[in-house]
Amino acid sequence: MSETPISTDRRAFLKAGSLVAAPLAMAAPAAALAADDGSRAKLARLEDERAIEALQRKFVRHLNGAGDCSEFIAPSGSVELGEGLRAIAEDLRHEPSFALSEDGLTATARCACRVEREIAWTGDTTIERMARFEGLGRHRHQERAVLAMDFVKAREGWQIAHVRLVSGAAAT
Amino acid sequence: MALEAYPSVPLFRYPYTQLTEAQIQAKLAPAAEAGPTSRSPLERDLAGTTLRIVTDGAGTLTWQFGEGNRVTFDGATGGYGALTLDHVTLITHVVPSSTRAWAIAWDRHNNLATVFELWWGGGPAPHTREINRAVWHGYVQGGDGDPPAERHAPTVRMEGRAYAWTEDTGLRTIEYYCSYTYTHWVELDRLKDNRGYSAPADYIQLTEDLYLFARVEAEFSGLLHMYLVDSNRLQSAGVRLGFNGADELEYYMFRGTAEWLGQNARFEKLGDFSAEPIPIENAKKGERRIYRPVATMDKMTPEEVNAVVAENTHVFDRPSPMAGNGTPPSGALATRSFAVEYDGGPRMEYRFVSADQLQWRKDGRGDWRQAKYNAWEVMPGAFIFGHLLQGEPNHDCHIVVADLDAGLATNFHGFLNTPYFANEAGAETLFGKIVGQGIPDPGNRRHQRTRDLLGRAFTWEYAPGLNSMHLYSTPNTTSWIIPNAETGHFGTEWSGTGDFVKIRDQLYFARWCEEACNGTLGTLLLNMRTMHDAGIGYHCGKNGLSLSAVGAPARHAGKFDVDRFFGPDAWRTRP
Repeated sequence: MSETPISTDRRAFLKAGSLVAAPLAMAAPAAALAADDGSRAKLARLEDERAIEALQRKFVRHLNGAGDCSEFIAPSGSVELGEGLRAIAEDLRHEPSFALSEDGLTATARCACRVEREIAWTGDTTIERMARFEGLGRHRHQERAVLAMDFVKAREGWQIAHVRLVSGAAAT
Repeated sequence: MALEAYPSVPLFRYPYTQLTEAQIQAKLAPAAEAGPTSRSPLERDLAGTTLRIVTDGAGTLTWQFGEGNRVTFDGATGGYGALTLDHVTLITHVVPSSTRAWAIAWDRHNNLATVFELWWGGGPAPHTREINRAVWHGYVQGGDGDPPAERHAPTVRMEGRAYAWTEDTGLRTIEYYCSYTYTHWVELDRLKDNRGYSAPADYIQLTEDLYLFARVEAEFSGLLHMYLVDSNRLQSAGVRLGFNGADELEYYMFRGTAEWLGQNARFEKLGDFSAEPIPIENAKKGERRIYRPVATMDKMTPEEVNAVVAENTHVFDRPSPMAGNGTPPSGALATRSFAVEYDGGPRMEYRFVSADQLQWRKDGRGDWRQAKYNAWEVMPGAFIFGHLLQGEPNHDCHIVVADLDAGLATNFHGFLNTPYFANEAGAETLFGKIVGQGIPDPGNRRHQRTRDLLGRAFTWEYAPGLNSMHLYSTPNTTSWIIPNAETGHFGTEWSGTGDFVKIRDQLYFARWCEEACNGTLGTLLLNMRTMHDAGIGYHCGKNGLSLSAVGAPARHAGKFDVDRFFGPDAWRTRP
């Protein structure tokens, strides 16, 4: 695991340039889809779901490796992962949920996870000063959270429109 | 200021003399020759004994005891004192022509020993008058058997206890052992202000029921107060060594008896009895973490305060680490209007124009002024809110608990420009009634000071990794103790002026002033039914003036029965 906190500010994710990493289910002409018995549409949705799952996993994998995740984020996307994030691990006791919109152009995913953060107490409150004095100026802790992601299907493929970690009671 | 052995001002305000090593050696010389005094008979049965103590870290130390109270150590002969508690003997002497002394706890049953090496000057204490100590564990050498593998050791077993001691001197002290590295004590006789103070301490377990305890009154007189504790018989035998506020040497041994005041919860993980302090890298001999807050706090002039307030004032405009687990502010006061009439204080008129903006006017004079506020409804109908009084010369704040169902309000009025450091917050407590539409008139009733919190301790979990415990040790003292978030060991402790007001049953308004310690006024409204609080911190330093949120879930660590030690006016304080 990296010893430096993962950069979670939006700028770090939004480096200009590359975008899509997920396999793209090529948008088929609507007329063609309508002409068959529906199996092509089902196949397309299945491929979309798999692409989104893969994108989510890749995003988490890059995040944990302190990799550049900007390639997964839509140009207008936003990232809210909170302070001092060090690692995210999917909580396998919970089934992740995916929802693909009717038109197949947006999707959402929620995934229970365990988050590790490290906070540095750098302020001038007495309690922070005393914590530093005790040699306890940094604190690493785990918390449960839900990784909530919104996806959008662009011409280049699926991208993350919005990702945030929902902590505490709001996560349940 | 005339020297006072036991100052009439708070110890953190007293200008202790910076004694030199030469002065200290001169003052020690008679005591080195004569040994300590004692009201209880000192023991003489060591005559003819040679005590060779093999220590882990300080080599083998040899004391030869002669007739009377003569002891020879390292070629120098002087006077010693000894008292035995059950089967452990405490021996002490000052080395002649030096600024060094020793204290030895010798278990005569198993020959284990703990030696306190004591000295003035040369550090690590930054003040020469403050006694240094290094603690060496070992055993008394003798016979042909194998040396024992066991040792006395630091312990957490005393953490959470409190005793009321009465020495054979007649002096009474409440001692709260709320930490494994600090202590908090209240002198009931020599000091007159009913205040508690905090100091670094050693806790050594000797047997299942015998302990060796030592506090160094660092940052104050620098005196050592050490005693053996028999926790079953509630007895002590100890020594006091150092220089009081009049720079007089105190060197006496004593016996004491205790009342058991209670036992608070400890928060180490179950099964964790470890008690080694967090190590200091490249520590000097005797070095430990001694909190010296006056050295590190910002100390500003009135002009500097005015400048920083003008440039850098923050009112509930940034996240507060002390409210990471706080509840969100309430907007329920928005659109309400009322006035608070304080007894002997101002009449404050309020228009709450939104969830975080209010208008105030003082004593009906001048224009209405706009101020940012935050409010929390901690129990239905009972709010805490706070705002700055921009334009007041002392940059005042009002932190108010308003019980709209009862028509009662209490204000912890904070202000700067106190006499010691201009950025240090002072506070007064104002009681009043609320006048407004639909708010009942309480007549002459007011919120009252309370002792419901006296002797209680609560933990506060402000944010992950940022926790503390409050101990309300006297009617005018709040003490706070900082734990290791990983292990639950409570360590560094400090304290300041407190005040405590009952709002409703199980709802209390409390404050603490961090005098000569960062200068913050901290307030909280504690709901013991939900075990959560909401509060406001008021702080000025080089980074600016701020009002910020305080909020945390609480755990009740326990309550000590100490009410009977304090008179009805014990809440009164001198600055």
